[in-house]
Amino acid sequence: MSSVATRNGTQAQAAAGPGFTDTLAAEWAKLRTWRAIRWSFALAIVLSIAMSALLGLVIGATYDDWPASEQAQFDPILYPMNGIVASLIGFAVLGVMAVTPEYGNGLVRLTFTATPRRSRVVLAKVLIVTALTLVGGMASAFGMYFAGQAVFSTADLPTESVFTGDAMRAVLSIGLLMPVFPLLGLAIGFLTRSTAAGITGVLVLLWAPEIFGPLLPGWWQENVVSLLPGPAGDSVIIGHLVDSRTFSDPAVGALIVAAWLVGAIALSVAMVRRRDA
Amino acid sequence: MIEVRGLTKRFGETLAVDQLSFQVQPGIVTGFLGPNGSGKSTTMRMIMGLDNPTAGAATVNGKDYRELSAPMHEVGALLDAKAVHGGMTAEQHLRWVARAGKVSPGRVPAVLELVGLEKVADRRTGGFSLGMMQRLGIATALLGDPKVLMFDEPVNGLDPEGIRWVRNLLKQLASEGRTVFVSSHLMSEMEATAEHVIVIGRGRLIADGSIEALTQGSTDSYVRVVTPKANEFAGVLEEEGGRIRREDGALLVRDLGAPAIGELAAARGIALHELSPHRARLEAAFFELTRDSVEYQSREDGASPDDVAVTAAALAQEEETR
Repeated sequence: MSSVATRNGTQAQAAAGPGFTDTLAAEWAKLRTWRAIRWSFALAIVLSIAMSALLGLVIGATYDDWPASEQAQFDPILYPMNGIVASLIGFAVLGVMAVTPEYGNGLVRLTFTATPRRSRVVLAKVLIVTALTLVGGMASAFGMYFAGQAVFSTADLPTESVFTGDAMRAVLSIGLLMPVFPLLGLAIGFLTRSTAAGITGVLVLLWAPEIFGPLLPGWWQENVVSLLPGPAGDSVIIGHLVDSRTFSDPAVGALIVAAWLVGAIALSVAMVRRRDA
Repeated sequence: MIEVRGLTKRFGETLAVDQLSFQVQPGIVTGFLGPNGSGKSTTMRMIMGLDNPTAGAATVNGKDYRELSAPMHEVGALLDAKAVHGGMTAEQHLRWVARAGKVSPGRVPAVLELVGLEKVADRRTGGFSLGMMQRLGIATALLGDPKVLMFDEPVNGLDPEGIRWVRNLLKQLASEGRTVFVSSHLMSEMEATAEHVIVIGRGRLIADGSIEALTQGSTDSYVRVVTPKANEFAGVLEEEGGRIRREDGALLVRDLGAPAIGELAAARGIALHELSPHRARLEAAFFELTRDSVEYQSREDGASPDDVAVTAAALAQEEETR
């Protein structure tokens, strides 16, 4: 094909500028070829299910030796969900990696010359990360649950169908809320423009309340830690199964999470538009 | 056409670009010259809407870049050849850019062929040499078949054959009526490629003119005259306004052209053994300009008093750093 032959064809349609769907398709064409995105997506799903199955095996093998008080606490809904650690980290990394590599190698300048309306680029990445981690989060949640139940049944432990209200709420809300930390990671990526800082930032936000929250005085747990996205999300996912001073009413928890997401994305858009690329 | 008016960019304490004004016209290759760190890349990034000017404005075809509805069809730029994701193949890279700019996907194989990368289209760019990256960058700039093209140091990393290819490509693009703006810190390269040059130093405009005009003003541009009657003829030439230097018995004449000198010799019946015009290299002219640019500017047609003032200020700063 000669350049001259296609030249005329191109100029005929030159008047129509790209729209949001073009930006979305371009971002998808770009991100889906990145190995960091593929690996974090695959590992988040596979490792979370493997971890749940493995922990199930350990529980099955040792259950008979547990003290009666601990045996009474066995929960066939909660216990298979331990693998969530892997999916939370994997998908959060995916969110950061949808942004920062471009800043590392300067590709972002090409992105913003092709799409000078930078908010479109941010929103396209938001949609792609949301879609990927929603699908991946659902796969991970159901995978963990089924793997756990399968292992428990072979060990003659109590199991629970996923179709009970309690189980369905936990499994579905894990999937639905999975995009939260990836999106916060994406925003931190846009703000720090650095892979190391982005991953560190999102993991601190993810784990700090888990690790340091319980060490704080009760008032702080109830009024400060509870406003962080992790505890707010957990009150939606397992608020009906577990008690914690950091949990809110599930509806309030959902609102807190939504506020974090809206704030983080709005801040990203504002900064990306204002700063030099 | 690219137009820059009073463009200024400050990074903290440093003034990277200082009240820069110039126009880049279609149909010719315009060189953008200056030492490393003189503000060329910053200027180009501001033209492409990437960096916000501290003051002033840059427009492409009369519009702010960020206001172009189909930017890739109007402007193509190679700003940094290494800014490619190493995990993507050349074709994947061009495909997403084409999609983002709403360029027909048919252009992808076309530009790959144009830059000679069609055989490595499905290889990851991580394994590309700098020369191949430059070609891919040029292909990216050409995707939307734009009327305005900007290249930041396009020959870096290219072998001699590649350099000649870029040179011819730039000239061809200009001959098709496009605006072609090329930066370089290599004077010799620009001399072989550009018709018009814009020279900046420390973010300020030093010169803006055709290479011919630039080099004519240089003391290194002269007509070499050898004649047995050197003393007598020197007097004649000085009377006619020529400035004379002597070198190994030859007269080096400035401010008079070879035809005029020949006519004068014929009229006086003076035999000439040699009459050869010598044009200064751009490089020599450039170094003089940084000392002598006010004199140069005053020769240029259409140079406004403002330009001269800016140039004088640039001069003073250049002197300071010496």
